[in-house]
Amino acid sequence: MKNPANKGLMTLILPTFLTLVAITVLPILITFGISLFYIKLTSAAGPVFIGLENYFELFTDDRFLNSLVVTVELIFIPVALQIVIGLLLAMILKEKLPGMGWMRIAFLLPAVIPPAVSGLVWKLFIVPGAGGLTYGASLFGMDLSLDLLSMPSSALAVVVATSVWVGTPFVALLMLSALESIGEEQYEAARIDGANWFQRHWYISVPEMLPVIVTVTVFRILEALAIFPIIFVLTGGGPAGSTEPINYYAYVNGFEYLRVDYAATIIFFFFVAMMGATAPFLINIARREGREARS
Amino acid sequence: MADVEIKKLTKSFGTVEVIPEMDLVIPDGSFTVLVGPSGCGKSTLLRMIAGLELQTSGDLSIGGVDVRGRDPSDRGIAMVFQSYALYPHMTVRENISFALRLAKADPAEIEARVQNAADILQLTPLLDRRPKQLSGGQRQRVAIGRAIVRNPEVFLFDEPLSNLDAALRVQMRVEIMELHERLKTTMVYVTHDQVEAMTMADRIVVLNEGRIEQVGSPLELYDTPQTAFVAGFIGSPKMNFVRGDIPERLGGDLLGVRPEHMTLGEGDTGWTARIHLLEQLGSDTFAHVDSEVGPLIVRCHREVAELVGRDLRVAAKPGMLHLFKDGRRTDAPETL
Ligand SMILES: Nc1ncnc2c1ncn2[C@@H]1O[C@H](COP(=O)(O)OP(=O)(O)OP(=O)(O)O)[C@@H](O)[C@H]1O
Ligand SMILES: [Mg+2]
Repeated sequence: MKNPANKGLMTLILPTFLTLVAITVLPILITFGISLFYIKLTSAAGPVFIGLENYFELFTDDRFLNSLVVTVELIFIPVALQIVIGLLLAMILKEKLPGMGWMRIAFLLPAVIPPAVSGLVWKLFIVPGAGGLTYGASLFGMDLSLDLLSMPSSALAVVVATSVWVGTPFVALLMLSALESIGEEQYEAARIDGANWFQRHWYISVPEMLPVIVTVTVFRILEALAIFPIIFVLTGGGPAGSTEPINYYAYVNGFEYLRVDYAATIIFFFFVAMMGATAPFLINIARREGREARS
Repeated sequence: MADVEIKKLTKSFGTVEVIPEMDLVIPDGSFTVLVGPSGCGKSTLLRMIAGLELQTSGDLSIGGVDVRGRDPSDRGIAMVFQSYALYPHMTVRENISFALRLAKADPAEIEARVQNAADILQLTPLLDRRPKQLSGGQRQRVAIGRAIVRNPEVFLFDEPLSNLDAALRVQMRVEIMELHERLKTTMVYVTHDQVEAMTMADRIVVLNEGRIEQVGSPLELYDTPQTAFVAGFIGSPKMNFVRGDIPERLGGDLLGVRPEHMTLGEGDTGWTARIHLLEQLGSDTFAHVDSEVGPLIVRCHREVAELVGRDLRVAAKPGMLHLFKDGRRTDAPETL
């Protein structure tokens, strides 16, 4: 599209463009560059170019393959739960029940607490024998003093629960604002047509919120990758790598084993995979925003 | 087919009393228009009949059945909203058949009823479109179609034509009246437009601040308004009102004369007056005059244009006076 009126606008876009290049594109390219070398930080010898050798290692590395599985479990499952629970909560919050104003404020709290603090809160909650969980269970006459973080399956469950706890309220609030923009009369018409609460949301809210749901899902996935601090505080990736997603494994390689080149390989691979997975949605969103901006 | 019976009905939102206490019977098969100024409680009343709003106290029955506590879908009503309230992601066919599909009706039966509604409303070519691809008038027809397929005993309309332009409004007005002719179902129609009320209704209920001012046929309301409010509300242009000495001499406090019941000319009886503005509508001419009793509007022939700027007399035709005391109608003399 050549629009003469757009001439000269490039100078306005350029600063933003350059900044974006400097803070996103350049680091990615440098990461890719590093991944092509053999680098030993502890020796005096300089980097040696080894081509794609690191990438071949990647696909024979069991611990890496395990971290792929964990990534799906830790990122996609929590996001799916966040979306479903968030949507349900939004539908409940929309009802004009007494006290809902306060509920909404209380809902924002987990979203504004730093993730590392959330991790600590949950760690304290499940301290074996002394935490809130043991206490809560004892109220129901149960004895629950296991160390949940010491077993692979329960450790994963704790991390998932924490991530859902942190992420859901924000999703719920986004969903709620989308929900409240739907005309009330549609719901009233549906009530007259005989739709119950669930049917009203299923036939009206969900289809109308679909674009919002897709957008929120994509951004939650991108944001869920920031699960790192929760894991760092809660489990350190253990036990036995059961809560070690890709980015945590990269951290371990870079900062514990000092294998900077291998860490860069993991990160670059991950970047490409994530772009591949979310590109269709991101392009869709960008198109729609472009269309809305024009009309 | 059913009547709607309202007994000692009240409605408050919190501490705000919107409908103080109301008794009203909407006869079976009638086209009843609820009319009144904005905020007088028309929608609230309609929504209570629909069950979208719960009455604070009192009784409401449809077809002799007390509907308190019944779901809107279970009252034998169907409602058409001002905003159409169509389901945007469903096609016209899906919109119209939604209630039947929820009720798990037989597919052949659904198809037949949708076809029937589409025939009545000329929607057949549009059945596979979405609401976005329709004009305002078409959308409102879909909304009416959605009401028709439910075979309701009472149709409820809340200002269904307010979002349409003037020409379309006239056309849809006729279509809704024809629909009533055809179905003979009770219809309750809310509007704040007194022209709509006059042309469509066989019964008009005039509401003001949650109270019923008067119930009657359009011409009853026009010819014998029982309150000053109805006198001022029904009729366009508005009835002329004169206050002060003149009504007091007659035993009231407000004298009303409709614009078409006044004469304007160069005679020597009546109040002195001068034309200060002429509204030419082609068929009618409305003269806005400044008279010794205040500003008045008089319906005249277009020839009055020649009288602009002259000293004139304006008078009420005999037998056409409306006299009010404390807002209520009292007997008026034949002439002044
Ligand atoms: N949900 C509500 N909560 C509080 N007050 C309300 C509510 N709905 C309506 N009201 C009040 O009740 C009164 C009557 O409202 P209603 O909508 O019935 O008026 P209306 O006659 O339909 O007016 P309009 O011609 O503008 O549609 C108004 O004063 C309005 O502010
Ligand atoms: Mg209203």
